[in-house]
Amino acid sequence: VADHGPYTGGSTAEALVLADRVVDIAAGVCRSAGATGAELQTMVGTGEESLTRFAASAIHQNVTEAVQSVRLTVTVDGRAASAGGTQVDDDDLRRLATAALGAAKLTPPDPQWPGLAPPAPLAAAAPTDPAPCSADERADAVRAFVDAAGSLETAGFCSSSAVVRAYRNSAGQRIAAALSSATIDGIARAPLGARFADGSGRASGTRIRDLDAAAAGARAARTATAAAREAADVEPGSWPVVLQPGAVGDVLGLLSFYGYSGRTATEGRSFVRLGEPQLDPAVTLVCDPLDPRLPAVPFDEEGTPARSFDLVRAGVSSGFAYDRRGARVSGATSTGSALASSFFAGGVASSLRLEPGTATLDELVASIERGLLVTDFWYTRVLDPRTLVLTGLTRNGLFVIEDGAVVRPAPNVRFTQSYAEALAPGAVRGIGSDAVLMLDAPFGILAPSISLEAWRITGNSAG
Amino acid sequence: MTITADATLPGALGSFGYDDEGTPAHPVDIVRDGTWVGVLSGRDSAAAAGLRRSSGCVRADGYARLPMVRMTNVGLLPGESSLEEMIAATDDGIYMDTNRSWSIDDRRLNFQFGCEVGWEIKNGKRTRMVRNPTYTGIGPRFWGSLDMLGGPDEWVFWGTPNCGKGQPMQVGHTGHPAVPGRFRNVRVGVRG
Repeated sequence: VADHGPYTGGSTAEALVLADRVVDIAAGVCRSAGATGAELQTMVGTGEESLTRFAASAIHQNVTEAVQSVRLTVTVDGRAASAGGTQVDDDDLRRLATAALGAAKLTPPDPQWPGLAPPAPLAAAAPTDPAPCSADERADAVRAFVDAAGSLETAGFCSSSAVVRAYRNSAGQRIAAALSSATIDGIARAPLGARFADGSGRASGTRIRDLDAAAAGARAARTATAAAREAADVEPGSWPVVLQPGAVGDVLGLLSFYGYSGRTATEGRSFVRLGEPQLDPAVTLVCDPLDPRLPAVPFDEEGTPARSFDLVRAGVSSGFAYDRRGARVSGATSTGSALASSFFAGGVASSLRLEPGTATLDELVASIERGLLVTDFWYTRVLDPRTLVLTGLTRNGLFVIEDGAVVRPAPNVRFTQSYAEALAPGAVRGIGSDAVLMLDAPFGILAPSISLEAWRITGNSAG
Repeated sequence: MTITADATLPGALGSFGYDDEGTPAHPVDIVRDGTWVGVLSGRDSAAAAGLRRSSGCVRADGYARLPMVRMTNVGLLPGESSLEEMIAATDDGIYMDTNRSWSIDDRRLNFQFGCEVGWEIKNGKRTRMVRNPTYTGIGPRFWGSLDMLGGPDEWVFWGTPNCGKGQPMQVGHTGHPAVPGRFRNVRVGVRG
């Protein structure tokens, strides 16, 4: 695997200069058009995104993309429109501003337009230099994963990202930061008759050198080997479960998106009632973009500095995530949770940490008389947002627990379960100390294993 | 039942003139009269599978992405019945309308769908509305239970504009032409 050369993604200082130029040029375009009161904001990003994929234990794809993006939002008398592009010559930026202004004039005014974020410093010093990762480093991580799986076939990917982002608006807010992350994520496959049994392993962090790719590969191989036995289906019904971090990350991300977004509450789609003990006292869920283990830009898409806040404190629903408009509608303050996609409009807490407990995975398993040990969830989809009932399947290793020990693997099952009910008061048997970072845009989630009283299995390989 | 992959359907979401390898769009049988007969393919995968030609399904969602096999318009051809006849011929069933959630296992066997709305059918008549209707099962068994299909005048080119595949993720338009169908002994109403 040849290296593609040195990082050329630019610095935070250069990104700020570009953001200044975007706003200056847009201001000129608006002045010329008579839109003197236009409010302008831009987010620019430069850097590189890289991906090395492997299958049949060999690298088959290695790509690096130099990324450069500009998003400009023009608001005139509450009429807002955005335009985005990848080209940054002055003429390109004039065209971008003309397009955004033209679209804004055609947009109905928003009576809840909250105005631009005022100047405010970042809550903590942010990294100014990205940590680029070479193709060789990614290949080394893949080799470590593959070697650790021994004779088992492996597949997966190693990705890395090194970007700088800068925000500037016409109200004077001007901030920038660098963001770096890397992930190794894969499976090992052990033969099981005419098919295979899979096990997964993953690690993420801000720098590739901090990832233990060999441990991830070894974990995948251990799980696959343990799962490679013909075994009977698990019967549908309510089962105690130990969910490992991969599955817990799914629960937390969907809990945040469907439950603790201010917009879902405003629109009557959330189960959350602030101040009420809706979840088990063992559950404390924090949105913490300032946690150095969670790769996150320390400001949001509207230029609001990120801050830490509780979604759940000791089981009590404590806070919603807001962007500026969502906060205004709810009479609250933005939590710095605006994301780029309109899919997340209203604000979503995307840097999540479930406070860990003290138990090891073995201890969580040992406390269960008869239950299931789940590695990952797959294809989870909401059936009823207001009760947070989802359906999905297990993947990459499902095991039966009897008398406190894992006794056999089982074919994957389908569940239909309210995530809120699964975490309700009295429903959490224990939380592990084994927090794992999972990156799945836009989420960064630190999730430990958890043990739950009940999880509703509604289907198996027989139907 | 017959399922085709046909990128030539006028106005359907998965239609185009040529795929991203230059293969002209053309209809391909996937299931013919209930028997699996074909697959989606590109030039390389068709050769590897010993097929005579690519089925012309290779697309990328932008200049910086690798082209790969995607669904075109993968859908069900019409039968000879109608929704009205199906309801009239059903003593005890559920009429499900418009999928709003979908989940399927990594072997593409165990599925569960949620619908926007449903109605009970009793003695050949549509009766009370039901909330959050779902249906679940094992794919081949479910399709094997099909016994009535709507006719050509009920053929609608459904589809989705945001079908995801690949890494980095690529978003594609896919079409799913379909008619109403009746399926026997399906598990419905799964609750959490």
